Amino acid sequence: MLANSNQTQKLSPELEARLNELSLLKNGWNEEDAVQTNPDAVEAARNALRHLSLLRPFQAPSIVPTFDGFLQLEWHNAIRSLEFEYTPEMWAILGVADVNTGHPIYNTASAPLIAMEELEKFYFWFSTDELIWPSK
Amino acid sequence: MAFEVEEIPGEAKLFLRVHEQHYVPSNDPTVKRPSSACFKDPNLSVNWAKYSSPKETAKPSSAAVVELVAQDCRSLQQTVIHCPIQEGEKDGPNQAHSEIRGPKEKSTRHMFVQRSKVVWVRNNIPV
Repeated sequence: MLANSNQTQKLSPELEARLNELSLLKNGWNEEDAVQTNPDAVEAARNALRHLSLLRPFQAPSIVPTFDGFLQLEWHNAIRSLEFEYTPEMWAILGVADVNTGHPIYNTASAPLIAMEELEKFYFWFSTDELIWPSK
Repeated sequence: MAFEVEEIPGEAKLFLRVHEQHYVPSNDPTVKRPSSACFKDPNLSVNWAKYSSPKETAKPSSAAVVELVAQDCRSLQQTVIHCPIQEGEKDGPNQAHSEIRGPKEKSTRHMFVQRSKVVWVRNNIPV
């Protein structure tokens, strides 16, 4: 549920600081061949988080760089995991249910980079007891 | 003398360093875990435990080192190959160097996380 519809929502200082930190990574940041963070990936993550942070409840994700210069948002709780991985074409999405049972269930999807309502559905699946993986 | 390439047996243990950017909170806020992002490389460099240790595998920017078992990796449609780095080569010499090769879709990366075990953590890593 949206707390309000203010699309100029500011991110928390912690999330903004994390995005700034990631935007400063340079080539070889992992002491090997990792590529510096693509500014488009940072901006896409910022836009997605501005939207998702309007939801209640909202849990801030971990934001991690990938070796090829992109970003991944990830959430974990006791039974589910959710990942949004930025690619230049789309968000690649993974949802894992029953993560600690030994028989996890893997769900995948993709969403256009500007499709905030779709990201919202996947986040809703993660943050509630919703059983059905969102489909288009 | 050059290192010979050996067959890595199924029960062999492999060490993978986890960069501090990839060590994230788990569902338990007091425990961290590797992100699936650290398994994205189609040619994932690891050290074979026969010739290395978790501490030797870590770099200054590593937050942790995880252990994988070769047969677990092969069960994910990966090949596990010993490819020692000779003296004079980039990042050499490293007799333990091996690679886990194969495409790693998002679900496969998550399966790697599930099959990995943290065996070394840098002192004073913030929770």
